[in-house]
Amino acid sequence: MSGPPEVTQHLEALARGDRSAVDHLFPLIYGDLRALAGDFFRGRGAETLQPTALVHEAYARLVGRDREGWTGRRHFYSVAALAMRQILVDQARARGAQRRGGDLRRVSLEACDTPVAPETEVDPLVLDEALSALARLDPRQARIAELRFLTGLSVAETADVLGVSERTVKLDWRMARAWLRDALRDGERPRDDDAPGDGPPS
Amino acid sequence: MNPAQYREARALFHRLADRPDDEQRRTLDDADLETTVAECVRRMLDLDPASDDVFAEDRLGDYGRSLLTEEAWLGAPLERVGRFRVLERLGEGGMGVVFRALDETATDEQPVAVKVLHAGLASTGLVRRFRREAEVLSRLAHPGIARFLDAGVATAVTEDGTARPVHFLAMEYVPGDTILRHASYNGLDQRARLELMARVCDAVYAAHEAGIVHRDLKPGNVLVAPVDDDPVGMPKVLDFGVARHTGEDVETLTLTRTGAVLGTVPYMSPEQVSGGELAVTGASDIYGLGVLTYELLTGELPYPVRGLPLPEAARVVSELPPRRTGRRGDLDTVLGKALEKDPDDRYSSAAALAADLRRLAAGRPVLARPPSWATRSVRIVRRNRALAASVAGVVLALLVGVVVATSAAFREADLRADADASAAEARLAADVSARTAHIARLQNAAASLAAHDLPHARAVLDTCEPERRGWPWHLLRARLDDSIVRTWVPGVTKSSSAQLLPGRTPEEVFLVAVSQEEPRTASLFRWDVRSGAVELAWSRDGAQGTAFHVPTGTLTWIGLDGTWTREVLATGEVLASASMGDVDTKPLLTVPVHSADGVRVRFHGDVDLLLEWDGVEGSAPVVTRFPGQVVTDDAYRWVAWQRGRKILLRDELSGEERSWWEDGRPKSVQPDGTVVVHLTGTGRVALCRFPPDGAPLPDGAPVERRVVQLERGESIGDVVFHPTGDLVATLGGHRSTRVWSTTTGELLHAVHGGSIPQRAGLLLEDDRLVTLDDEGTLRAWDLRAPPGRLVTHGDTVTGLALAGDRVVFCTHDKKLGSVDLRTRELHALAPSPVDAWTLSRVAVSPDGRRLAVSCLRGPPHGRSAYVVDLATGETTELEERGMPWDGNIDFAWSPDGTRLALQDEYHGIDLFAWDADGGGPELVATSPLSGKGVRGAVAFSPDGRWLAARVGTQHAGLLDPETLEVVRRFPGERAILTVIAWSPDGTRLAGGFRDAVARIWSVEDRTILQRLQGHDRTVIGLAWSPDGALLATGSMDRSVRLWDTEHGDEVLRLADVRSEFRELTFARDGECLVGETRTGLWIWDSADAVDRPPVRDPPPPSRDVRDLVAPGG
Repeated sequence: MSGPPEVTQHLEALARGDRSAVDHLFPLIYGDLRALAGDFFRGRGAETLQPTALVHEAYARLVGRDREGWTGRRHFYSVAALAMRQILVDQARARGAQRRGGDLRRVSLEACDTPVAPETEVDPLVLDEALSALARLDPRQARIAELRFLTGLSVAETADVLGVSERTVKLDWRMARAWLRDALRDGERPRDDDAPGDGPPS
Repeated sequence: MNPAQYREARALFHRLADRPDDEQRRTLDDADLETTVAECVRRMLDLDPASDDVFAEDRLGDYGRSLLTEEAWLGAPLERVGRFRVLERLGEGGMGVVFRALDETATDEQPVAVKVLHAGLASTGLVRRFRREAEVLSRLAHPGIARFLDAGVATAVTEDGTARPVHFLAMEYVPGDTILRHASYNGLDQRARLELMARVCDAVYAAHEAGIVHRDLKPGNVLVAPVDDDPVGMPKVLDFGVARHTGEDVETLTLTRTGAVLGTVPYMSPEQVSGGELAVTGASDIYGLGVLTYELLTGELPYPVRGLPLPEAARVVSELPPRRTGRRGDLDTVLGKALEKDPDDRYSSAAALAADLRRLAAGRPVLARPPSWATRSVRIVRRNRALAASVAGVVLALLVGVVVATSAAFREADLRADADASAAEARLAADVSARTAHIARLQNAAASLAAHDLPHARAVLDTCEPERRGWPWHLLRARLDDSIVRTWVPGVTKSSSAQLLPGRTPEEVFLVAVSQEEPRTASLFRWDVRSGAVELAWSRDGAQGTAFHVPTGTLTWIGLDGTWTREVLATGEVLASASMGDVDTKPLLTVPVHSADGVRVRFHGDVDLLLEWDGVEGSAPVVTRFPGQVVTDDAYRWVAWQRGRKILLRDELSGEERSWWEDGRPKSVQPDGTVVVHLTGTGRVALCRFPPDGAPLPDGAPVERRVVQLERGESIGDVVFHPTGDLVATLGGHRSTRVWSTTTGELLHAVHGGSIPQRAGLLLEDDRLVTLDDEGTLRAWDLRAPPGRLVTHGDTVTGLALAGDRVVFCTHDKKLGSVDLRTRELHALAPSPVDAWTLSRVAVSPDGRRLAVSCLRGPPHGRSAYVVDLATGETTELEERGMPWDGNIDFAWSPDGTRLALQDEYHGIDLFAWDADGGGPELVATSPLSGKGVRGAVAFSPDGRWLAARVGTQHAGLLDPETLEVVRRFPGERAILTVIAWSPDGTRLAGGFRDAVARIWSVEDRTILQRLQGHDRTVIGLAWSPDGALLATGSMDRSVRLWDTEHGDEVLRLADVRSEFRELTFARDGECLVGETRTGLWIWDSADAVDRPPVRDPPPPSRDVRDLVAPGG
């Protein structure tokens, strides 16, 4: 089984270093993740959906189940994690819009009726901005945060996607986590980072 | 804080994270650090400890999951977008969702299509592209383009009353299908399809006139709205999402100037795929229209690029000529002009293409001219160089980050890292890309061969870089012509008429050829099908038609003056000679036909009459007029002719005449009265036959028809029958020569070689196919021995071993045989010297002196093994120690042939040794390493220093060849090892595993060098090529794959396999690969089929095992 050739082709272009392929992959993967999740929810009751499973399924659909050791796989997961992040932000925005009639304001997830852990009082929009700020300082740590925190990949999977050692993933994740804790502390939005001494720690 | 500071902080964090607190503090205090950095590290270390917050290790992913709820996901369905009331969701694409909706402010009730951009894409560059489409559409007004209505940002309201702003685009709703579906659902004929395409061209022309290039013309972007009273329908071109203005400024150019390819590959022009965005003009749309026309009319794409990696697709489209449609008339000329590589050579406008399409539809001559081949080839060579350089240039530019993509996803820091990439890395990447391209070419050629698209396979193979051509390339190349005998016949040209006749013996074939060039020579050649020797038996200048009657050895030929002569070939004696008489059209009667007994002669030609001479000397020919042109007059009894769309058949014996409607032209009549009809336009051949008693068939039809489905649009050279009538061969076509079953219509064989189509052919009693091609080459194929397969008496081959230039094998039927790989001759098929139920494995010592065989014997022996001394023929049974061997037995000979390791499935390895005087064998060592579930997990290293064997179930190990102690172990990866093989130089070891992976270790540092992943099931066979560059793997998934051992790439998958291959070996010279399977012994031969001696009938079984191996090994 293999998916639409353009996904494979763009992934190969990306593997060769052609960053612009992301422009093409992003909508394709974003669209597919959405369609998959849509199918999932249309087909079942009000279960929750594991983001990891969603991304794996999208890979199988768009690239093929038989392409496990392929280099383009890493890039797929990178872009998929970005798409996932975008989707989560969209969800939050949509929810915000729904509740506040179009006013994009932060919303505590506790207000939702879905069973979530009490600690997930993180505003996706704030998180998104924090991740963007982190990406400007250290893109790899931001990517690790997306893959581990948002997509739920394991240390080994993350290492595989990014082509770095598991030790690096573990340490980077710890630092990124600390950074995000800092940035999200008291729900404060991290400030812009260009000036020395700015950003966390302030 | 800036990225550099953060990097420094990161390095410190990594170093200190797991150190004790006081050490952390001390280091930070002592180090000479900027305050920002030190502060940052302190803060990060403070916040590092695990806590039960949202980032806790066991909660990762929960956060995402909590957001992905059904409610959040689907939300409530959209009710309206601005002033549009949503009626139905039409579909969802990568960019957005399309709805059918009603404009509530409009007075009519016409539905419209509303496209809403995904919210998630609103922040990306895509929103600009979305707006752009709207802008482009708003400038176009043409009935062939979906009409623009409105665009912008509007409030989307869901059914539950919530609202949010969205980007939308409203346009005309087209209630129709895509162009390909429309044409096939409505059964449009060729003329209607041409008109439909002409209308698409009209619309594209209008866009060009407005200064807009579409750039993504493909079937999904052309819908056709049904029109009353017009079956053709009105095409509507959609999706100007990647369109751009021809007079564009630089700023807007960056919108799509991405270096990567926009659009859909199979429909893109060479200048688009090679990434030269600036070169994309209206001519690129002409190209896209050409591809669309091609697909609409033939159902295929002009280039088989689906599924290819981008660089390879680019190369195919840039370098290869489009496949010919095989249609009659000017279609290929028109498509050729639309699909020219050089934009300047294409139609100057879409309107010009539309005009030629309409001329084609009306059957009038087109304006396009086929290009001159001489100038074209020069230009193609020149352009290929330029294109290859430009593609390489684009790849390099991307690698060093010269082209900066407008990516919302990967930000500046990433790009900066890219800019640092060194030139060395770029070179390496260029090499990777060239290697990938080469492999893609091989796979492309293999796929074309499997589809019997020989011209394409040849073209692809020809473009492979010479320095990369290895065994797989030669293997594929050899499949381009797999005829086993080829003889060029001088003087037979493309314009000669030719007929092949079976001779008096199976070896003999006659060729009657009449040249159409001065001095119009008629020749009769005798060809020996086995040796290929050709001999001119007779020839006359100034001849028209000539016929030869093999049983009587008599010839009849017609002179240019209309006299005909009948003579005896052997003596030259003239039996009769006469003028055609005063028939006014006699110069047109050019084809003599003998009656089956050779007494009478008929003459016919391109006129509606026949002349018949009764064979009585002195009598005048009788003229018979036919109400139509006589098409064929085979075997004398039957005359078939055509009148309008009717075929008429007269049985000369009974005088009965039959006729039936048939949309095709009769090609020949078989002795039993079967008429072969080439069906017009469909590329099918119908075999039509009247019921023997003349009564209609049960369904009332006058004839029984069996249809052989050729390629769509294929025209074939000839159709020939096997003497038994069971087989029919279609010669050439635009692909290969194929042999079909007349009873089932099933394709039995496809043979490759010769020009296409072939001029004449013949199927012989012994299942040889003989053809003559346009270049005057006679070829023969053996249909009993399809390429790659060797017949081995139908026994199941159970084991094989390389012995010098031979392969020795054993069979389930307890026989031993060998094949000489240089001559492909079967040498002996001797019974096992030891009485056994079955033989399971053989191994020949490298010096060719001894042969080890394992077998299953009846009680009380069970599994046993014996060794044959090939010099003396003496057989020694190997003695097991105490416990009987059980399960599969595997062997490994030491390189000097003095030691034999024997491994069974349960007890372990026994090492037998012979002394220098030939004394032995003696059991010298044992090891408990057994081969449970394994076949082939012992192997001596080429230098004899080690014995490799499986240790445990998952590891390979090296054993001391004296003591059998394990001295080195190779890491496994939790998969069961099934087979081991040394690289020829002894530096690497390959293992096959149950997890469908083959792994290659370095013997020196015991690391895994390559993981060869691709098989679906257990890898059970391994063979290294003699140079160590390739590894062949056989698997339970019934495939054999070839791998580049240096880079781990799968190079080729060998087709034609229907059973799993266990043992594999390359020939010593590396020319062929031999595999053993239940269905026989297979040889994949990279040598040209002609260079292989023909497969002969197997020799009578020898009684002597010594004949197995050639003297001297």
